[in-house]
Amino acid sequence: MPKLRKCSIVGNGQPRESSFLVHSYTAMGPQISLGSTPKVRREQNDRERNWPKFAGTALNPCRLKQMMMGDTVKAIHALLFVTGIYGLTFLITLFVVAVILLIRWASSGHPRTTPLSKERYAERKEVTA
Amino acid sequence: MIDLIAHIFEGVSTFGQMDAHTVMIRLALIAAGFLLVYLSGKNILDPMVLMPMGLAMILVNGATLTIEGKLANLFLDPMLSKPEEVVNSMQILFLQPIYNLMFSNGLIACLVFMGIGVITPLDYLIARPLTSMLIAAGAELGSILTFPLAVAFGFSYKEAASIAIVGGADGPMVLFTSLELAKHLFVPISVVAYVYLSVTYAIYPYMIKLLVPKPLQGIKMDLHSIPKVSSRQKLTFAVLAAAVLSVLFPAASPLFASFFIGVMVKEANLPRYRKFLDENVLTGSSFFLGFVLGALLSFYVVTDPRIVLIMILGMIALVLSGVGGIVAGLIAYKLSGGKINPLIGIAGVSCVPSTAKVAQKCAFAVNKQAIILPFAMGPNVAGVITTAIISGIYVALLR
Repeated sequence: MPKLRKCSIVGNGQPRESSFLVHSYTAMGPQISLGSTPKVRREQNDRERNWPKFAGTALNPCRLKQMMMGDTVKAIHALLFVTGIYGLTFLITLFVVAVILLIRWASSGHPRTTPLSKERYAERKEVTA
Repeated sequence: MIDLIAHIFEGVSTFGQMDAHTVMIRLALIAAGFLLVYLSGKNILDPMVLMPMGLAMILVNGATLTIEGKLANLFLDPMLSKPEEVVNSMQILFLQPIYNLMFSNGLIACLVFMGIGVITPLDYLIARPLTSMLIAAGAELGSILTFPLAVAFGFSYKEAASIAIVGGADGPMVLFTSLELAKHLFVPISVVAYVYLSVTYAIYPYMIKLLVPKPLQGIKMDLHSIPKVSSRQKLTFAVLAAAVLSVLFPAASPLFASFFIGVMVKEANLPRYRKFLDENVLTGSSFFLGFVLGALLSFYVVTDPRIVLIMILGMIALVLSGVGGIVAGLIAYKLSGGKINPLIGIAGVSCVPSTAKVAQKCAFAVNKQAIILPFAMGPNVAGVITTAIISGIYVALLR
């Protein structure tokens, strides 16, 4: 549930209904309308309800406004999230490269560390020669 | 009399029981089915998957009847969840056993992946791992940047990840990710992915012409510069990579296991298994993949109004991946001092081996002596691995 923010308007000294963030639940989910007069708000909500469903929620002008407010912030968070994922992918990619290079090195005849393996390698070389 | 005719020809009479909007969707899906059959018959789209899909779309939307007062068909019902309903439906709906035993659990994606593993050559990837893997990582741009775009359009993180992975251009991976993260969007995302994977290969040559200067497109690459890679090295890589990646991403281990078991069968020289996986498993699962996906596209399943957005985002994902791959190819060209043909970058978009063939075709059009297919297979195979990595990360973080 989004937080309701109360903004008193100086005039007759009473907070006005229009100064609240009003949440109306329509067929397309919660819609946020910014402070406006009840009549304007009603018209806006009617527009939301009458907007053809098949046009896609993002094509709805009210949905676009909501997107500009809430979803843009979410998108920026999502961008940071995927930047991390891309970085992690690069790291794992480099790890896979390291595994391949290790396999190539191991099968190239270099890792002759023990005296026995060195001896066998020398024997094999002699046979090949 | 009219009642009797309506009773006999139930498929026609069901049109009268629907509102105008649903009738339009039903007719549009039948028309789309005919279009898919026509285009795949002409080899413009991939006929292996899209021809059975088109036929199933026509049939499932045409053969609608009334069962217990509800509109239904005798193909399958993907909306069933209670075990009792599922078991009962298996006695009636002829594709229901295949859907429940192969699609609901992602088995179909794994079977396709096993077949892909068997036909995948690892030579250039092992010979030039850094070039191949970095180009492939560049070609994942669509799988990354589409995610925040989808979130901006109001999709949840799970849905956005399922849509973004279309940019990996790997059908089984899209199936797996959407089944794991957004089962309710599985049908539209999978269909968009498979249709686009065919369509995009028609778009990529134009992107290449637009982004890569013509003299660079025809650069010859020296075939003798590829060091010989033994089967033992490839086998060791398949086993090690499967083990390491499965330990890192247990959630995506079915995919890694399937792909690398295919590679292992190929490199271990097991001809009977190889023939079985290539001819039977890959062919059979591709056929049922297309046919069941088409049967899933009935008018009462495709009701999500966001399908238009999924189509747009899917296209953006594939175009971004293509751009990322080409840019990575150009960087590889610069860093190699002009020895690498930048067209191999497009092969980083991982649908094996179609994008590699696109690269070869474009190079051949400019220079008849330019043979880059063996080089393009490196980023192509690496693309499968990087897409599996991204898919694994998405599934692990968001499941």
